[in-house]
Amino acid sequence: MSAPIGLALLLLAAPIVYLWLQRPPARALRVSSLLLARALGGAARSRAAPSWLTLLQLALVLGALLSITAALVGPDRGADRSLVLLRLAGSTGAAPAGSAGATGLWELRLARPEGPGGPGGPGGLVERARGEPAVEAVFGEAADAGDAAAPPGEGGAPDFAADTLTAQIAAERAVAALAARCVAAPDSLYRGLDGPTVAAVEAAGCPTAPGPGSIAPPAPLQVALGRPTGPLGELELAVAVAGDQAHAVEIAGPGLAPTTATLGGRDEAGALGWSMLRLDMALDATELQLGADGGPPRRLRAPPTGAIRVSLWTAAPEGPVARALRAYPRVRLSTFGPGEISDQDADLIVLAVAPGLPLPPSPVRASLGADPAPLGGAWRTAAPARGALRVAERSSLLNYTAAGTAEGAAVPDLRADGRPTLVLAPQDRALWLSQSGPILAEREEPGGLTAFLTIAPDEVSPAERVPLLHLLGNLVDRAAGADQTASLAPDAAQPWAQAFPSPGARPEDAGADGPAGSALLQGLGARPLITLAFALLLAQGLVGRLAGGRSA
Amino acid sequence: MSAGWLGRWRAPRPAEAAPAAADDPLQPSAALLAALGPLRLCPPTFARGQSSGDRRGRGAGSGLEFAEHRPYQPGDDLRHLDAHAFLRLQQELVRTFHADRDQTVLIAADLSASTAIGRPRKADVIASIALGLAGVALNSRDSLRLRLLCADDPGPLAGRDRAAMPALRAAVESARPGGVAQVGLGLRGAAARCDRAVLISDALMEDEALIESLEGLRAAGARALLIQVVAPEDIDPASEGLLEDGDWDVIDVESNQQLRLSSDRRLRSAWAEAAQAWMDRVGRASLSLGVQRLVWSTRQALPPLFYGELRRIGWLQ
Repeated sequence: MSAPIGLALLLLAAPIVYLWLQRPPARALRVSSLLLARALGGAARSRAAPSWLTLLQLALVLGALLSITAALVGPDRGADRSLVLLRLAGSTGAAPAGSAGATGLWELRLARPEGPGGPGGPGGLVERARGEPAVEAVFGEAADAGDAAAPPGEGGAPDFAADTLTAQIAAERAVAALAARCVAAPDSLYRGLDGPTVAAVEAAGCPTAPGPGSIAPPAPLQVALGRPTGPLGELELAVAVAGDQAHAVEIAGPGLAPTTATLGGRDEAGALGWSMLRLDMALDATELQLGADGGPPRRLRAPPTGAIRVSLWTAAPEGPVARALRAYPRVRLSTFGPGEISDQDADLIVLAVAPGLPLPPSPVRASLGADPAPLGGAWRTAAPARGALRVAERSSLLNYTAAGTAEGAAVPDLRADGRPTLVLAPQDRALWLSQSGPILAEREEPGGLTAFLTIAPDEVSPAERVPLLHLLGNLVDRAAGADQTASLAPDAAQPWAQAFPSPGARPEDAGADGPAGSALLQGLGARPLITLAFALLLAQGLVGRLAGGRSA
Repeated sequence: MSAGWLGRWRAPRPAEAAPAAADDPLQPSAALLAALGPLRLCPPTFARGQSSGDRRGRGAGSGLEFAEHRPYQPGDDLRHLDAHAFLRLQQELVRTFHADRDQTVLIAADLSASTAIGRPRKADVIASIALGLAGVALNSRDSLRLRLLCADDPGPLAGRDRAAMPALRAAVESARPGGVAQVGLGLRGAAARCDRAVLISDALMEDEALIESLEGLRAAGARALLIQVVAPEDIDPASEGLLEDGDWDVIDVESNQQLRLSSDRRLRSAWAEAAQAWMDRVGRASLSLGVQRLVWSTRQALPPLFYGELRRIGWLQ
């Protein structure tokens, strides 16, 4: 609603005041005796209407008018308002597989942030909408087949069509919740341990000015949802637009090819429309320019992307394993020859040949066909602490064997018929998922480190290069995740920077007693104003009803 | 939700009910006085008047009505010796007669400021009734005392025959309603007890004053009658276009006290209930104190009061 209409609404105060000034004075009734009037009892008692009461009534009416005007002149909350949600996905083909089952849905719930130490603490909900099931966004995870794309530079664009994003957000409430978050932390990135993160644009570009009820039109709301940048450093954006109108969203950044997409206009009901955007890979794209409808762009801060230190013991420094690791932009690869010793810390150690002992400390270690003995420890089947990682391998050149068979088996024995052998494991104990089933490849050491065992790749078989790339990508991702686990702990000084729940957690699981809906009201702004207006009118009526009956 | 002051706004504002001019002289009905010629006050069992008159007194006297025979005693008037009884009974009996007394009637008219309300004013109706009763009493050659209880109280007025009527009428017509009703005090100021006492009032007074008035009335006359004149403006102001929705400053015309009311349907209903309760209270008080009571509205014609109600209750014939 435009300002002139608001001004016209305010002008209504003039006739109201005029009517109040011209209100008829109390008429005089001369009676024989006040005997009857006094005998009216409760009907007449407290009916006196002193002048200050009528003045109070006028003030209440004007207050109601002001509230209505403020509510209506505020930003449009209708179907044509936009909500842009960005999802920063992880590495291609790697995404948390929650308990949502085969579909592997991520769930994000939006509501009011809890205080520090509250139910929304680490591991809990960042925001919670208890009793507000409509305030829920469900993101579709990258499907296996869709993410099983060829690595960059080797052709084949990722199939994002399968990465559909479903929304169950009531547009109005989601906008309100996200807007409230935007007000609370205008230029902060909400980082999560596992799940998606929410990134709000900076204060200048924040769609909501600080304070409730002041969502500034007409720029579409830009609030980012996503997860930390993956080991590839690439950004995968899911953009949602609320309303019936279509919006042209432009995304640009340093080292990022400008991308434009037309979003929205798909949902006649005015709910959220969702679209996926693919951005070219960009290393350390910590800042994005996000604009809509040709408007001024707003900055979006992506999570920091650091280097992933990988130490590779291999006899072929330029072999397929090394090349595959170098394909990941965040990887800082160090290669060592057989028997060579290194004291360089690493996020990931990959053994293609036997290393020199002792090995440097590393949270993730993997043996690719080499003797896993240097990695130490005993194999066991344990549920992954960070959830299963999915890998899409479409090779039919692999062998599969049961977990019991793999126990204690020598590595060469796992290369039957010259093909790699993957160990099948129950779903809840898998680290990798293949088209043929989950793959067991994890063990735990006393130091808490996680090691991986798989087979030695066939360097001459191109057909194995694709699954090899994804296997290495999973390892890199795991290494990056281990680093994030330490660095992305919730900041006590920023109580809002709390982790999202583990995938599959339901709102009721957290058992919050938080003031549900207050953030919505804060974000909506107009709703409490309308409520206030009605309350003022009601108070005016009550004052009028209670007034009277007192001797002047 | 109450409409508040916005809801009470009316355009154009209705004309305020014109209050009756309280200081206008009383205007008793002249036609009524002419129509009451045939009526007489019913005779009392024994008249209490001090003067001789047409009514039978309680003791023996020189009246014309035979009372009884009694043995002759020396000193008796020989003219009263009954010759027929002596011839028949061979006893000297003298005839005694009732004393002829006049019947005393007290008429008290409450003409306080509260009676200036109504169309016609209650004061005019009260004055008409008072003059009508006075005319009937004078036609009956009864001893009449008239009290006009108003601010400019002319004092006790008296008359014994029709000749006094013009003076009484002039006194009434020159009076103006006003002042605070002090009926009890006015009635106590009357002289000896009368045969009949009539109070014509709206009886809009507090319980204490009402009881005092009725007791004074009962003490003033062997037979006491309260003629309660009510105005519809008092009982049901809404029916008279008053007390519409809105703020009203209700003003007591006697005390000038003021009460602000915000009128609505609920209040009007409560007002009607309060009026009915007040009427019932007056009725119960009159009954308990042995005072006959008649209720007459200012909108009712007065002849039916005289030819109907007052004859029905044995006051006029």
